[in-house]
Amino acid sequence: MGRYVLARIGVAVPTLVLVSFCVFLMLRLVPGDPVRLMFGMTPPPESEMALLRHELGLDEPLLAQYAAFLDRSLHGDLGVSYRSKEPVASMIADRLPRTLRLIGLSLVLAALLGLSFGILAALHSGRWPDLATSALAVVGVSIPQFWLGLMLILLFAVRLHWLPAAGSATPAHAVLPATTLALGNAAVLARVTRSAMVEILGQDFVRTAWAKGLPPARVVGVHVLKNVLIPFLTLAGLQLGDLLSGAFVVENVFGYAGIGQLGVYAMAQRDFPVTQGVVLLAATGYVLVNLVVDVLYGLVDPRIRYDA
Amino acid sequence: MVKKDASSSSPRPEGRRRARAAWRRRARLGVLAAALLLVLAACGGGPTAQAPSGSEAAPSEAAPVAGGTLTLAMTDEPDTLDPAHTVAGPSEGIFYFIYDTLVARTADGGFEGDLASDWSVSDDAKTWTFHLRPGLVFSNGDPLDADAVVFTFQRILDPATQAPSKGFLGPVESVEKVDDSTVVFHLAAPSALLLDNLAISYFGIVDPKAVQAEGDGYGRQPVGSGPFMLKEWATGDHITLVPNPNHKEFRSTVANKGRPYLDAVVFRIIPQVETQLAALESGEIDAALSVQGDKAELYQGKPGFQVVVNPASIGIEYIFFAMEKPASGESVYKPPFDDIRVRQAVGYALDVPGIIQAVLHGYAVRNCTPMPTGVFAYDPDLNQTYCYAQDTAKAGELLDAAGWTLGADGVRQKDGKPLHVEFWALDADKDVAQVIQSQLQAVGFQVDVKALDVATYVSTIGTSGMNLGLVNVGWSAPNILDIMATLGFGFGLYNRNGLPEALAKAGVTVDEAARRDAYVAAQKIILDDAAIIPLYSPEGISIASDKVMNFKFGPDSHITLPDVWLKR
Repeated sequence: MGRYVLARIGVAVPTLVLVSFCVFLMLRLVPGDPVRLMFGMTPPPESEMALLRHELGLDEPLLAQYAAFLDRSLHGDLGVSYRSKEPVASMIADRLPRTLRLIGLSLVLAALLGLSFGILAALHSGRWPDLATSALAVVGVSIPQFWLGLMLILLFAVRLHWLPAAGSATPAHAVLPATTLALGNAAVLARVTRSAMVEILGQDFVRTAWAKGLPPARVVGVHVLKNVLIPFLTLAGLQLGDLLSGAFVVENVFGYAGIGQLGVYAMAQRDFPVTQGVVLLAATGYVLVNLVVDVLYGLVDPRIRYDA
Repeated sequence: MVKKDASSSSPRPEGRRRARAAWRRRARLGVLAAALLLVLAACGGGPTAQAPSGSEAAPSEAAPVAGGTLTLAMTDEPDTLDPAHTVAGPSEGIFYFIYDTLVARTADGGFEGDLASDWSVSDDAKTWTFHLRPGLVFSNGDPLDADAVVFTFQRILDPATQAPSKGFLGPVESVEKVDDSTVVFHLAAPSALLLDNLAISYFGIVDPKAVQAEGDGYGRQPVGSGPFMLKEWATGDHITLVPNPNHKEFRSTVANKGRPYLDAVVFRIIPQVETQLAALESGEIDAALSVQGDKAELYQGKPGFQVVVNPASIGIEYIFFAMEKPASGESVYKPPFDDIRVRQAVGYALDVPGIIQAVLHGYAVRNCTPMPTGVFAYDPDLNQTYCYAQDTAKAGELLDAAGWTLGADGVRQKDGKPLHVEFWALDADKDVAQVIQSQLQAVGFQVDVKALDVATYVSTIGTSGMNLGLVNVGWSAPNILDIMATLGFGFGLYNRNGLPEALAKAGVTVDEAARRDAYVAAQKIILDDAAIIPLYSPEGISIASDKVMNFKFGPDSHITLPDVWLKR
């Protein structure tokens, strides 16, 4: 087990280096000169912009720029924003807790909704609660998040005045964006829960449990659910990365000051250090979550063996 | 690496597949959201200082009441509140309230002293002397004297600062202290634009002690002498300003000479205008600072709200043609627009008033000149003389005369080649571009529209296959013509018919009447050659709750916040 984890970490490091290289390269291949953009529609003479490009190191060969970036990143220095001149690390640290709050809340919501609806559908397999849940899940997966976000705002902020429409000042501000983020994932989780559960409900040990005269709550809640949790946890864990990417859309709809909002704005401005920092962080999160899921997987299902 | 019991079902691949599909879906949405943001950035970007204007909001009859917090929504967060480090529009939107400038714009487009009581200029327009008012202090009590003014400008001029606003100072070489209340600007060449530029809040006077004490952190701890001062900047969420107890109001455009009526002004950062309007309806904010015409139309006459329009625009939306500029000599138009008749045909093909009504919901002013309606040397006569009214027959005749004859498929041809053009526009202008496309196709052009984000547009347009472009440039001073003619693509390469010389002359003419004539002459050069087809000047629009009183645009395109009060 320990060796397996070590080996996985060994793979994670080159993965992150590769990601950083791809992001670095992509940012520079996408059209858009950060220095030109600093001046809006009114650029100064080219000579002055060239000077600024030199100051920022943008006139160096790409590989040299990347080497410098990698070297600094490995020393924990993500650079300084072209725009605000603030250290990227502190810009991210400012916003990260809010994004984590948003993602954590939506993961809990998605898990609760997914599990409840999945169980409901499986227990009534083939009858109307199952079909209704299926239909809901299709809708949940298909709804564009920016549209869903606006509809939730209209209902809960404008009509009912229950929750704030925009911002990130209080925990209440995270509720609507987290719901928006959660619904698509809840739909996927509900489907997976349902199919896993239908399969397990038909197995011998469940029939035995029923035959023993165990109460339904015990059959479903203990014998069945335990087995459903394996695919459920795997998927829920993987969805963490998914939620992070969804945060880029949702944070912008709700004016929620997390790293998604920062990343989108930085990309629009071609603020390379900030964009790199945000993407690198997201990639690290994704790799870590995968690692944790793989490890948890073995803990939940002892039949799984690891050979490093 | 992961080995499983053969009998155990494998959720992993399914989870992966679903996760990947969801990722792709999200990624697409991400691109969409990013595009949307760029549009907003485009709306909020660039200088927003503004020439003379009035406001459509009715003046409030009741006596102002002090107290309350005004909450406004802005689309983008300022990058820094240090004026030496940005020319971003959102930052300027805050600078205007926390910094004072040496001079300010008056309601009729002239200038008056703000921190400076008066000024004089040498005959060669190369030496400008400003006298500061006595007893000025910053919000923290530090003295605002000649040293502070010299420090502010020398810092921007110092190449080590990398100030993006440095270029606006043009030929300014140095700023020198004569005595505690007198500073002199030394220019390498004459400039008639110095006052225009000094009135923009990028050149607000900063407290030297605060800059030195805070270092790189000054951008988050700014100290100025404006009517408000920074109380709190919650990253990504809001910026709170409170009245500056040490501020003295000298501008004639601000009625309230005392302390601002409001206890605080909160600028909430909400990227999406739709969300801003939802927050406005739910009462979380009191006004959305900048919205588009389609939204304004929804709130026009709606009980509880007011639509406030800034009719004097500093923007001009125009069509330009691809050009090439050889290393020396005159720039040349690229085909098919190397024939003036083809350029004129574009003008006659378009129904601009129709576009203003249908696409912009009436929130723009038809402007057939290169000068925005709210900028010095905008000439109504020129706007009459040079206006193209839609005349498709005439457009057809011009194209016929230029040798482009109508083919069976409705596309004109010349020497077997179709009249095909690639038409570039910003995402924000996509709707307008599509109407233009259909109107050009009606007279025999074959048009491909490319709608792009700001970053891609400005960075790649010069080297692309673009034949025709649509762009919106905004600037408060008449040197907007210089900006347009040096953008680096399309008309931004124009050096024909003596335009650079005409603009250079206008730029050094200090006498107001002569200066106006010089800029009108330059505009005529542009229009006679049909070098661009000006379309309209867009209007700034805010939507506010009706309990916000005296909510109006001042001469710099900003809401005059010291005059605003809240009805209880």
